[in-house]
Amino acid sequence: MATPTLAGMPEVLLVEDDAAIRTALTRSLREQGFVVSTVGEGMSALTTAVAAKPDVVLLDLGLPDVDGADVLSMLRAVSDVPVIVATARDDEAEVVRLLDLGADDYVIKPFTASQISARVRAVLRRSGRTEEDPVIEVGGLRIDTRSREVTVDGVEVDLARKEFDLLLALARRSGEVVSKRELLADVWQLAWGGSDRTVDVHLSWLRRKLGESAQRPRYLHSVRGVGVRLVAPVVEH
Amino acid sequence: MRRRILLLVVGMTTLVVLAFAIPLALLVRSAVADQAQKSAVDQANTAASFLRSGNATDASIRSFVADQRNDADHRTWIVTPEGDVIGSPPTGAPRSGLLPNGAAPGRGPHGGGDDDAGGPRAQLRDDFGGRVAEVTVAGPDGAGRPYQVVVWISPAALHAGAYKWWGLLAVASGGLIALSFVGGELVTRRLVRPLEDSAQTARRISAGDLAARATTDGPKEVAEVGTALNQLADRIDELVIEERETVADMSHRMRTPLTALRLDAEALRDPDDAERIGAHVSALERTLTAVIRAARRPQREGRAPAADATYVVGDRVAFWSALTDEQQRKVTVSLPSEPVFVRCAAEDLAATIDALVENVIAHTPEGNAFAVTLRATDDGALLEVADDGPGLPDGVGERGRSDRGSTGLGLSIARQCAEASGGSMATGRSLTGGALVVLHLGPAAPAQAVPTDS
Repeated sequence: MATPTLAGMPEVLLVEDDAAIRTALTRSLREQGFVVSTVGEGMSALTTAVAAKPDVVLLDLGLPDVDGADVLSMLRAVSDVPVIVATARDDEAEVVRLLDLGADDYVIKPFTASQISARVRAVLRRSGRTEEDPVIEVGGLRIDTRSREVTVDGVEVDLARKEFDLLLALARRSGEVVSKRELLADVWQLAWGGSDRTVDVHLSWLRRKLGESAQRPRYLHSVRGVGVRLVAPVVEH
Repeated sequence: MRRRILLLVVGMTTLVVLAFAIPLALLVRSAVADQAQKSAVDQANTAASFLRSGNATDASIRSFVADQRNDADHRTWIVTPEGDVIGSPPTGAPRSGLLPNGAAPGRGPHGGGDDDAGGPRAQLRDDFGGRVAEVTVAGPDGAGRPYQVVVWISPAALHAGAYKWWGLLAVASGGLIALSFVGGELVTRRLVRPLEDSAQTARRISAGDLAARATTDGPKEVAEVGTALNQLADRIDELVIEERETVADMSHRMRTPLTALRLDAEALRDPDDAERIGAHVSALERTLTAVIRAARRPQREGRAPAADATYVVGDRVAFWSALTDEQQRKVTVSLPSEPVFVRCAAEDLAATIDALVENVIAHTPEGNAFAVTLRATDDGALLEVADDGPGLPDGVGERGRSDRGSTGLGLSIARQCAEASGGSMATGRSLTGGALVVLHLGPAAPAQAVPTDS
């Protein structure tokens, strides 16, 4: 297993043939604290992945020499490095095919840099290649990212998939105001396919299940015109 | 076409029947007349034999004549050598004396001939407005004046027997013509029905129902029309799918340069510029996603989509209830008690309802009420979303106009869904002056009307 290099900075191998994306993404990921190496072809991606042993591979499917799905299969034959696939297709069959081929996660184009870095972090966490605690606690709220279990003051809360993802996205940045656009990008992948109301309605369900309301918030605080912030409730004395 | 084929079949049969029936009727008439005349001749000959027997007295002759048939159409009388007439001749016949045509014994007016007893045979001729069989028999003394036996039949009696045969002939002819009509009707139905079905299928295909297929039964040539039409429909299907796949594929490819654009927009130093250009990129992404969704529609929903509108509407309104409750909106939902199947994929119908509810939430103040009503109609379903807000700006909802939704797609998603189902969308003002969106959703094909999970 590759040890995070450069004083714990995870290393990402970016396999992308489009120079513009490669440059922009490299810059963004470096800004977010990753060590990034890039290749533009499938075969060199294989050799680099085996030789350099990156912590995570970000693989674009549209490569000039070998089909990205074939690269994924071949990579899986020689390495267990976590792979995030970037694809332009968002149909379920395609996503299932990629996951079956051994992808650890997928991201649909066009993505944002923060979306990519969030997914890289999530994959690293799941694969145990990060020192980040798999359990997030904010006040009485406890989120176990491995078992996807949520409890509030010890009582289990049953959340739908998107509700869990939304809560997790907010909990990871607890105390910060997270914009709805960021939430749409992180949680819904197709930020442009939904609207602020999609976030609103899921927040409403989340509040209901966490036993609070917009009028009497505890954990989830809407900041009008900016976004949402998850904070530990103020303990009244 | 049916009418023409029927006319042809019935006309030809009538001609053939007439060609046989008319000569046959004449033949029957002649045969019946011959039979009547023969009967008259036999009757006259029998009387002649009686007179020749030598035992004939006035009394026995009277008795003999009285035994013969005597009515309006048949008369038998005997003129004695004395010139007395025994029997009742028809009107116009002399009441005494030999008939002028009377010939010497053994010689009739139309030539002679002897009967079995050696006497002359009765001869036929026209007289007294009918037909007469007459024979002369020598008197008792062997010389002198003879007896004259006359049997008369009226023209009506001559042909009376023919009418029965003619009736039978007419019934048989009528039966044959009726049979040809029934046969013609069956044949034309077998010919025309598949053709009408094919025409109906072609109309459905031209109206946008690409799932329509013609029946391929009936006569070979007619079945071929249906088969060819179905092949054409399959080909149209393939072409549409290929075309849509091409559009989807090209749209997918556009996502790569769009990704570069988005990443570059994010990297702009000026946050305002980044925000502004990012918003443009998002708009472009939404449009692209909508294009891909539209292109993928048939793949998503199959050839004949169906969704239970009652279930989907109820489910989606319940989903939004968390937010509408929070915003203290009074939501009136009116649904039919029965499932209403519409020609629309459940996913698209759900997206439509989401878009309409979102529009209300986005563009009316919190606390504003709205109503969602679904009604089953004769031709599908009617979905109404009416709110108490400020109403739609002019022009919104018209085809080709971008709408007010923050996604820019709210009403166009609804319109697409309605039109793809064979229905339509209309916008207006609600009773309270707010916005009203009415969707008419076409009915699902009967075979597809099965419950669907949304």
